[in-house]
Amino acid sequence: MNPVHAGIIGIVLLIVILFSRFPVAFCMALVGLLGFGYLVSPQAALNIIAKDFYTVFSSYGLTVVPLFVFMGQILFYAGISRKLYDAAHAWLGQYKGGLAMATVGACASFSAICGSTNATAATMATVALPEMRRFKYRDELATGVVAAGGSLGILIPPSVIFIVYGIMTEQSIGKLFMAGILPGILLSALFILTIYIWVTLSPKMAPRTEKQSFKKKIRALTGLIEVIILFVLVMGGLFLGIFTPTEAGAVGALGGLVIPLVRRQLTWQGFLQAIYSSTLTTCMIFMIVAGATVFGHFLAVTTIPSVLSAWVVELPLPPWAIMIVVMFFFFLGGCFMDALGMILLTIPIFFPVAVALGYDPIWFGVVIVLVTELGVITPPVGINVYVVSGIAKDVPLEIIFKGALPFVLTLLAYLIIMIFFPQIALFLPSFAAY
Amino acid sequence: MEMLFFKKTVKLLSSFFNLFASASLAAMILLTCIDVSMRYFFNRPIAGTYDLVSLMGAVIAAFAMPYTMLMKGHVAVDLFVRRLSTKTQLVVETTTHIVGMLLFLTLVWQSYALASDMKTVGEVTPTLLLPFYPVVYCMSVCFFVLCLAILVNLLDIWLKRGKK
Repeated sequence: MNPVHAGIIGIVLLIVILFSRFPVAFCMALVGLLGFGYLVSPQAALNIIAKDFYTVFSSYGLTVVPLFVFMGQILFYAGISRKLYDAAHAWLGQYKGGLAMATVGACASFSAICGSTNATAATMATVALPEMRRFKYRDELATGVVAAGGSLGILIPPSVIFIVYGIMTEQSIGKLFMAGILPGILLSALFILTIYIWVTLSPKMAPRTEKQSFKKKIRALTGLIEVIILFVLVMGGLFLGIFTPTEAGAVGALGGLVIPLVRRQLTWQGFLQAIYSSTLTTCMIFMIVAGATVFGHFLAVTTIPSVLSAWVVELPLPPWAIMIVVMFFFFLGGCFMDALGMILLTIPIFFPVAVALGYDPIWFGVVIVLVTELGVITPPVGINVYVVSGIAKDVPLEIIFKGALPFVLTLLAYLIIMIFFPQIALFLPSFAAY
Repeated sequence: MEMLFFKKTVKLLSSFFNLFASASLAAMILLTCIDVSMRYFFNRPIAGTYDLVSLMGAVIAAFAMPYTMLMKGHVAVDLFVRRLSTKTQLVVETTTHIVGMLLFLTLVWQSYALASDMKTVGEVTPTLLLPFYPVVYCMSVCFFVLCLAILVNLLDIWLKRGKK
C-alpha cells in the first residue's frame, strides 16, 4: 500500500472512531500510533508517542493556556460576568431589543477575558437569559443571541484557538490576538445590527424596557474599571512586546486574582473551583494537542499534506474559490466536532494549502476561527446551542437553533467580506512589535 | 466491597494529584510575575524561569489527567452513540474504555523507557541544567493513574446498568 492510501484509510478510521464517544484526543493519538507504526515501524511509533506527549506537555508556548484560562475562571467566579452584563444593560437596555444587544456587548467584553466559546455562552446564559425572560423576550431571540454571542469567545483575544493555532503553525500568538480584535468588534456590531433588523421586522420578539438614568449608567461602568485596566495592561503589554504571551497570561492571572481579593468578592471555595477547572481545561487542551501531534506525525509520513497542496495549487480555479471549498469543509467538520479538535485535525492538511495559495497565515487563522464560530451554532452538533439548552432546560433545541439562524446568516455574509477584505484582520497586526 | 474501596482510592488519588497540578499552576503564575517585575524594576530577571515554567506546564497537564478523566472533561462526539440502544452503547463504551486503557498503558511503558533513556544520556534543561527525567517518570506514573481512572469510569457504567 502506498503512503497516501494508508493515510486515507487512517483518516477514515479516525472519523469512524471519533463517533464512538472516545475522547477526540485519544482517537487522534491511537490512529496516529497505529498508522505511524504501519508506515514506518512499530518501534519508531512507540518511541514517538511518548516523546510527542512529553514535548507537548513541557512546551513553553503552551503554558499560555493554563494562565489565560485561570484568568477567565477566577474573574468568572468573582462575579465579573454579572457586572459586565449590568453595564451593557444600563447602556443599551432602552433600545428596542436592547437586552439582546446588551447580551452581545457583554459576550464581547467577557470574551476579552475568556478564550472559549462554550464558557462564554454558559456564563452569559446564566446571567442574561433570566433577565431577558423577565422582560418577556421571546425564547428564540433570547437563547439564539446567547449561543451566537458566546461564539465571540474565540475571536476576541485571549483565545485558546489562536494560541493553539499559533503554536501548531509557528505564527506569533501576539499577532494572532491582535488580528482578532477588529474582526471581533465588527462582528459584535453586526450581531447587534442583526438584532435591530430582527426586532424591527418582528416587534413582538422583544418588548421595550425603560431607560436608565445617566447616573446609573456611569455607576455600572465604574464597577468595571479594574477589569478594563487589566485587559489593556495584558494585551497592551503583549502587543508592545513588553511581555511574552506566557508573561502576559501570568500578569493577567495574578491581576484577575488580586482584583476580586481587594474588592472582597472571592471566596476560598470560588478560588478552588477556579483553579480546579483551570487544571481540567488545561489537561483537556494539552491532551488534544498531544494527540494531534501524534496524528500529525502520521499524516506527515503519508505525504498527504504536500500531495494535496501541490494538487490544489494546480487546480484551474481562482484561489478564493479553493478557499471557499476549504471553508465549506471546515464548516461541515465544525457541525459535527468540537472547534479545537477540528482545527487541530485539519491544520496539518489545510495550512500548507492556504500558504501555497499565497494567503496570509494570520488571516487564515482568523478565517478558521470564524468558520468554527459558525460550526458551534449550527446543527447537528452546535456545541454552544447544547450549552445554552443545558441551562435553559425548558427551551427545545429546535427553538435555539432557529434563534441562532439569523446570526448564522450574518456570519456567512461576514466570512465573504473577510475573504475580499483581509485588511480587517491584518490591519492591527501590522503594527505589532511582537 | 473491594470495588467500592478501589473506586474511593482512585478518586482520592486523582484529587490529590490534581491538587498538585493546581499548586503547580499557582507557582507558575507567581514565578512568572516575579520574574517580569524583577526584570522591569530591577533589571535582574530570575535565571531559569523558562525552564521551570515549561516543566510546571508538564506537571499541570500530567497530574490533572486522572481527575479530568473522572470528571469527564475530555471532548468527545456524543451525537451518534447517544442514539444507540442501551445494550449497544454498553458494548461500544466497554470497547473504547479498554482500548483507552491499552493506549495509556503503552504510554506508561514508553514514557518510563523514555525517562530511562534521558537519564542515561543526561538530557538537561537549557539554562538551569535540570535533568528532564524525573518529570518524565512522573508522567509515567500519571498515565498509570489515568488508566485506573478509565477503569473506574467503566465500572461506573456497568454498575449503573446493574442498578437499572
